[in-house]
Amino acid sequence: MELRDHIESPCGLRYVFEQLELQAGYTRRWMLDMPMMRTGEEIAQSYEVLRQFVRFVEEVDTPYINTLQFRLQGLKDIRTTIKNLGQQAVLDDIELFEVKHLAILAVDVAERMKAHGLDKAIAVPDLNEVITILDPDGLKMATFYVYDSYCQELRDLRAQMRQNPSRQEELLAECAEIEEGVRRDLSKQLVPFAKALEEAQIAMAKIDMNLAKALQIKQLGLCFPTISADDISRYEAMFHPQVKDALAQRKRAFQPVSLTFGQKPTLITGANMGGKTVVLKTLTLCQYLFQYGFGIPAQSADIAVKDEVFFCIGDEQSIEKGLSSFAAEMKNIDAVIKASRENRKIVALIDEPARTWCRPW
Amino acid sequence: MTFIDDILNYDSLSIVGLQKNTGKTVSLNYVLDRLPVERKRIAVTSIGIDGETTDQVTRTQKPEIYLRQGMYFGTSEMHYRQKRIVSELIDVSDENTSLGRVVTAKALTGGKILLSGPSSSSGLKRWMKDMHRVGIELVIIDGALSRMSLASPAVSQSMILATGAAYSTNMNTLVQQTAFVVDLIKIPLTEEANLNLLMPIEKGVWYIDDEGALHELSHISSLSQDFRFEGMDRCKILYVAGALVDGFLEKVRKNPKLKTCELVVRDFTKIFVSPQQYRLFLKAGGVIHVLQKSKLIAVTVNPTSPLGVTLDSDTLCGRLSKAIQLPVYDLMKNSADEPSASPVWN
Repeated sequence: MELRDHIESPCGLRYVFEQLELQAGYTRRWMLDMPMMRTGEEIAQSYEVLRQFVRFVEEVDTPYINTLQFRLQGLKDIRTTIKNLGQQAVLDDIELFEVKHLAILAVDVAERMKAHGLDKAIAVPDLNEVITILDPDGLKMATFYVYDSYCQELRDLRAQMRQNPSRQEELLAECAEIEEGVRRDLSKQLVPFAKALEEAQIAMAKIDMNLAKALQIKQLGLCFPTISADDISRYEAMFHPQVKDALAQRKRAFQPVSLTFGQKPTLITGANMGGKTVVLKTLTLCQYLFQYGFGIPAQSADIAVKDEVFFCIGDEQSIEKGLSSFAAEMKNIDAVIKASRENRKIVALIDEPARTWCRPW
Repeated sequence: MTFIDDILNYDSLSIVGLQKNTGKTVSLNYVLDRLPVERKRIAVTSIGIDGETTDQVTRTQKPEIYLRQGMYFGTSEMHYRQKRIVSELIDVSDENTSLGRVVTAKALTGGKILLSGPSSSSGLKRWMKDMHRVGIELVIIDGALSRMSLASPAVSQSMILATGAAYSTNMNTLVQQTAFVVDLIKIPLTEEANLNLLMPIEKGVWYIDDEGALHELSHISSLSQDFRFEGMDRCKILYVAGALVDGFLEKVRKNPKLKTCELVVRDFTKIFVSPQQYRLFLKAGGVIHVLQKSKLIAVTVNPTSPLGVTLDSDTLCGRLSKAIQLPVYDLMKNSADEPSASPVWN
């Protein structure tokens, strides 16, 4: 299961995701394709990287972050181009431009990361050689065409073209052939870098993501969780960002909740409108945020790693499947029971089970 | 002094034709040929496909767009691959069109090019913003009246209007209809205080009372047949954010309560009323203003229609010029820098 599958969960995961200041559309797509982390080591490692980014955000000034963000806006999804390159196709001008653009961006971002000791956390492959291939004049500009410097003959033909515009069509045809040869040659030289280009693209998406998560932690007042060693989850003063924001707009405050629960069933009961559903929503949200490596909306949190998260809110009718509210709910609970019988580590948050069921007597 | 110098006072120019074959591309080439590319960074794009050799609809010959060395241009990936000039890519955007992404490049030699830029007005605005950010001083948009919203004052500061026999082969009709569009383009801006108040409102019908307070009418659309003006005795300014249509204008004209109120629309591209209704409204003492206005730099004519009818250029230019009180240019006939006819001021 990937973030894409969980994002619409009624717990409000999308709200937190949408509040990330991601700079590149590619990062967003890459994140949605991220599988949920299911081991403590993985999660701990991702938080370790994020911690370094939080330190980075605290160290540098806002203009520096803005510049980095502005650079990351230039990150484009060029997977198709990289794939073509990997298959040894001859790249055209637009594709070569994309490769050069990515390489220049990667070198720039890598330098910034290194300057702040973040190069260990996320390594961006060195693409200086790619730039050298695509920048024969050493201009270091993110622009591209088949430069005159690649071939003396091309240079001469183009000079003639400028002198005799009337012969342009005929000379262009000659140029086109030479240009194609140059592109073939360039593509060949670039083939060995296909993997590094792909890695660089992902590395920059990771940087974009971590930067956005770090800024979100500061902005929303989130905390770094610890990973529970005894499968018991403990939350101090947890809150739901979406509900908190909605209340703040009406000049009211969210009442934070502290809660501990383990492997045994925990029953939450209380008066109507006491916030039971919000507690379940918040717990579900925190569990997802934890397993996708976000900051947690609480003062402190010690969270158990799970294989799967179930959130049964009880009012999901499934019209396409022809199920009533009650049937849909029973199906969900059935899935919970099956998963628990299979001995998988799950957390199931069930809100008022069978509320739509009516006594026949 | 020609209208070329006028263009340099603005950072964007759109060229719109009242109809296909009214000489829009000729006007564009005329402008591109004369702009001082050595001292001004200029970028060109189109909101449709432009520069193809034969018209896709009428199958008539079309002039191609000729770029000069040093100009920047925005076109689709597909047309970039078909280019017949040497050019340097400076950007590949995320803006998608049916012909691929929009790419931007700088012409390193002069030559012919097919233009097919952003196809939505928000996409166009983003592209123009990017251009200004990289230091382009003048953006030229090749537009179409059928998609005038893309050439609206919300997007470009100045415009050139191309008209001609393709729009109507009856000279009277042609002059009247063109004069009507010119009248709409020239509708003056409303007062600054109203501007700030109304600019953020993008839908609905609103009014400002004599104390300067803003109210929304409960009816959402001005298109609705049974639109009623209720409880607005003290209306000073009536603002239509969406389209202004005949039925609505007629109701405003016939409503005694609204006799002294000023009607405000977003810009002239939002006005969809017939010339008759518009004139009746003005005659009854109605006042209409806009929130955004672009400067009409010139009107150009093509006296030949694709059906083969040719109107007399001098008569057409003369009559049109008199009707709109602006110089009119027949660029096909005169490559000279003089207008074909200047208005007789009286």
